[in-house]
Amino acid sequence: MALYIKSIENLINEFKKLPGIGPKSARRIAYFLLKLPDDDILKLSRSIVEMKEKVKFCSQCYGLSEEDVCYICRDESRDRKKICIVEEAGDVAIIEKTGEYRGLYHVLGGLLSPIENIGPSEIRIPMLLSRVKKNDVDEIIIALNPTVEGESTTVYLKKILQPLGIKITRLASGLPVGGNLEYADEITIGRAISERREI
Amino acid sequence: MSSYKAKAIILKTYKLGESDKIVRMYSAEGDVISAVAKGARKINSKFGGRLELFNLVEMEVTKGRNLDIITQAEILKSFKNIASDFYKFIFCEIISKIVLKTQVPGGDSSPLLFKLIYVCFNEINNAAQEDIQALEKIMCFFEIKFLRIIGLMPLLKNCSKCNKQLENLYSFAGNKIYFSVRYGGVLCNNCANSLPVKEILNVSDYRFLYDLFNLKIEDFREIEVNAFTLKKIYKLIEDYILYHTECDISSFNYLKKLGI
Repeated sequence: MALYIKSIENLINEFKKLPGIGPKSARRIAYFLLKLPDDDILKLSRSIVEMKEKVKFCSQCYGLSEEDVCYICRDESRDRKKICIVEEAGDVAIIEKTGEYRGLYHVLGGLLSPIENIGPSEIRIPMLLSRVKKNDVDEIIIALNPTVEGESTTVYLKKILQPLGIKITRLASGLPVGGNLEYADEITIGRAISERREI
Repeated sequence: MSSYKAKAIILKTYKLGESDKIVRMYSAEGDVISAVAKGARKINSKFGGRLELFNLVEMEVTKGRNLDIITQAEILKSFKNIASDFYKFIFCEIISKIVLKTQVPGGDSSPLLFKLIYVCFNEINNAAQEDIQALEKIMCFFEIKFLRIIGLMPLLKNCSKCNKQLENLYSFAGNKIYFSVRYGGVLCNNCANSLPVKEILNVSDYRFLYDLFNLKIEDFREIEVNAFTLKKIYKLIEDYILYHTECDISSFNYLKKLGI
């Protein structure tokens, strides 16, 4: 005998494919949806379909957009001479939220990884190079995660961008705001000391 | 729930859920450990940068139902120069790939392999910046010693096909020594003639290969090898590892892919 009605089982199986959703959570969400009014269910299903149909990668920065070119790349008031390189499309929103940066972005879509055979062409580095060569760019800001993979990709980017004579910078790293020195690891403290600045 | 302490080198990390990390390590006891570090990707995580790739850490681990959970970690040694040199990063990743593809959790323990990984990471860390030749030399050392540890060492004194004892090849007067990746070692002339595919080594290639097997890292560091022999032996060992362990290293293809 089947444990669930076929349509519920199908939905549970679909939810199980989502990141962080196990069989129990999938079942809970499916039963929760059963109780929702028809309007809300229609709204939810339409939103999923609409998102999938409308959202695509911006043809310039590879961030997410509903148009061919995203709102950041279209914005004439932004500093078009600065490009900030980020790993994932979600990182754009994180930097935008700070309100400190008014330049353009370039989303790599991953990091270099010899172990997984991910080379420059798999992470949109050729697109970045042609974009930098075509446009008048005077600064590249590398905003990748301060992990070993992020650092190595940063070193590689510096190596291929340096011959173009552009200023290359990276996000500062050190102690987090509100953190406690006692709990920081030696690598973080070491970097905070070596990259200290005058006040 | 029971817990244990472990000293291990971090070989690979994966993102898990919102902010967790799966850490795959090789322990001093010679086992592959996979464990979860909860919240390790958060900026203010108690682990900070301790659970980064290639660090040697001492940890407190709690046994879990599926994966164990890391509750505390301290850095014993951090190979800081690896991340700042892309070539060093590539070669360390290759070492990690070989170990993780050939060793499984709960398999045969090999504390010697832990020592080998540590020694090679340390050598790579201390090598000059962007010196590919020095890194390839260390990689040859790692790969050959690794083959010895896992019992897949090529035969260098006897014919690998008929087992005939060969004359002392180290002081060989001729210029052609035959080597078969498939049979796993050098070949006598008769067997070499019967095989369509074989590698031809000269005496200096053979001597380098022989030294790789027999020298300790301190002595190996001192030997000089020309670029041609190094490339040839490095490629030969990679082919050998691919054939006998099915671990495709393809570092040559990856370096080509980088275009630097």
